[in-house]
Amino acid sequence: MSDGSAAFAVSTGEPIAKAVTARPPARRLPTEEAPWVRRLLIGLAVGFLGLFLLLPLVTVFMEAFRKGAGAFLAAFADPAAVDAVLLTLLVAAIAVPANLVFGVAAAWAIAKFDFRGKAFLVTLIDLPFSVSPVVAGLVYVLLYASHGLFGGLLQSAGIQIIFALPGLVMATIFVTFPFIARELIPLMEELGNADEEAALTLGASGFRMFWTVTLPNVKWALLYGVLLCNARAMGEFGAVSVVSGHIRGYTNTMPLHIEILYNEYQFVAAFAVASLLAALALVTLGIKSWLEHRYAGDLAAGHRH
Amino acid sequence: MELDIRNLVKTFGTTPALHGVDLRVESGELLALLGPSGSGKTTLLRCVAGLEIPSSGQILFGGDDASFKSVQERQIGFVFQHYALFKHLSIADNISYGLRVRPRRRRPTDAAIRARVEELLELIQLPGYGGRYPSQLSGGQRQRVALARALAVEPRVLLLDEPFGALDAKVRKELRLWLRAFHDRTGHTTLFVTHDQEEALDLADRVVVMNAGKVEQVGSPEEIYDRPATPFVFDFIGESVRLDIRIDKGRPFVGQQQVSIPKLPPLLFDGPARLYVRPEHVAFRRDGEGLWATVVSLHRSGSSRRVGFRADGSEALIEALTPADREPPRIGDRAALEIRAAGLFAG
Ligand SMILES: Nc1ncnc2c1ncn2[C@@H]1O[C@H](COP(=O)(O)OP(=O)(O)OP(=O)(O)O)[C@@H](O)[C@H]1O
Ligand SMILES: [Mg+2]
Repeated sequence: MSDGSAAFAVSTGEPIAKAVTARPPARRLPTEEAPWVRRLLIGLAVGFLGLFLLLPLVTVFMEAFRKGAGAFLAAFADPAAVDAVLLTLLVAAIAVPANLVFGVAAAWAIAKFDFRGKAFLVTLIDLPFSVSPVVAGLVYVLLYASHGLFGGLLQSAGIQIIFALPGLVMATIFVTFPFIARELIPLMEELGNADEEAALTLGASGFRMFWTVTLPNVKWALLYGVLLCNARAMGEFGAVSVVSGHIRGYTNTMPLHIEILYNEYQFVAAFAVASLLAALALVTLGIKSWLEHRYAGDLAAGHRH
Repeated sequence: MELDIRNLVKTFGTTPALHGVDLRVESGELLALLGPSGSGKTTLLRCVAGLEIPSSGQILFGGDDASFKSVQERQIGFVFQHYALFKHLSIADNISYGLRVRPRRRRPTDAAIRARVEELLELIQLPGYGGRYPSQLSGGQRQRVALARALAVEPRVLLLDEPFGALDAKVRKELRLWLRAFHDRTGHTTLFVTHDQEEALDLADRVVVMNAGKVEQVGSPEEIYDRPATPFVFDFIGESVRLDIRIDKGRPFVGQQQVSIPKLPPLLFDGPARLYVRPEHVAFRRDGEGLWATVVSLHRSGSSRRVGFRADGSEALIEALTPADREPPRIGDRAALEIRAAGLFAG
């Protein structure tokens, strides 16, 4: 009995072993690279990202805390730093809603209507992406500074734009304009007019239709655009630097304040403020990733940056 | 509410989509708009709805000119081919949308709205589905919800643009029967677009055949099928073969053979003409009088068999139907064809 079962085990064991050795070598999909190519590419990408993105980011926080938490907090005891933080938040709080309105209006016009000059408008929306922010700032100075084109007019009306809050806001709006519009246009184009038409045939007014149908359809893309716009609005340096005049406690935003501190060799303070700015950006990024993850389907129609 | 469309013209840029459409829809009628792709069916429906502005012509709702009325003022119900349900609203909220967007003085109370939604859900045979979302329904169910949503506002005219176009054949058939029964019960004046002729002939009180922006024929399904008014309708509705014939001294000839066709009005012209013949109107015998022809093809299709003939002196393939269980002729056999009905057009 025991002999029989042993023989049985041997006789079945052998073919299995043979089958294993006879298995053909692992095959690759035609679109797959060889393992060493894959490893090389991944290594390159990770190394590059680490060196150019992650390391600087870590450095910002390390430098900020180099002399301990006390020195870090001291940087924010400076009223100029507090003013800079508040001004940055204020500028973003004006520029982002303004771009929200303009962006939705522009996307609506482009996605839902056919009109002459549409292609030109689309190109115009992309302009801030391609023009250097410094150039944008300079143009605003040329137009609105006291010696500028509208300078006399504004001065007689008692309005100051350059070297004041309005200039900062305008420069920021210019630089961040495309983010919301660009996010909405492809989605709205894909959605088409059907839902809106359905709402109209059911008796909804245009305004009602917008609030109950159009906006809910694009809300995630809109939120996504707002986040990107906000991140950029808080971090903008070039255009703002030109129109600001660097008046401490008055027209100094966080990025400008950081630069001043740095130029004055106050490295810890500079990096402390920088780390706050970086933290704000990281939070935005975190919310964005969470949204992407949570509403992947809704966002899929929009394109990625 | 009856609907009167008078000489309606619509051009998109330089593309004419409708040129001169005249149509009257009687109150309570179920009218099908049938035509090939691009014939202007959707455009006509959208002009009636006010979603498109006609280039010229008039649309009258119960005698009132609606040309300058907005979409909202026209009080129509529109059902779109792809449902266009509001994805972010529940089924109940979708159905009640048209009631809830009304100005306060015309808006029913919340209780009345809820009751109306329940009533409509019952009507479309989806009771208890109010809390679901459109993505949780099948295509056929969504289409019924779209219909309920359009009906909730008690429209004067119901417009359906290929309501079953996105559904599979079986569901289409079910919904078709359902819509007919539904219409018999509710009696809305209904205009519906389809490019499925079976659907149109099955469902409608009257059928409008459109071609290239014009109305070719309006009539009951029987009239459209049995007495097509134009070569286009003959071609488009059902199956037919076109024979190029010649009229000589008032008698039709295929090649050298004279053909006799019953119930043809007297022919008052001579020269070339076109004869349209449906397979079910062709009979064949092995001998005797008729249009002599040779069997050139045999096909089994379902319960019947199609026998293809080529008449002497003609290139056209004339098909006849015979029951599949009957002994078929063989290819090359000769037979005499009897044409029991046909349409004849000059030119
Ligand atoms: N918005 C538009 N702009 C330009 N041309 C259009 C527009 N809408 C329709 N057309 C044209 O008008 C003609 C009629 O179109 P319509 O959509 O009414 O056809 P249809 O009968 O509904 O066809 P289908 O069965 O394919 O839906 C077509 O030639 C089409 O190209
Ligand atoms: Mg159509």
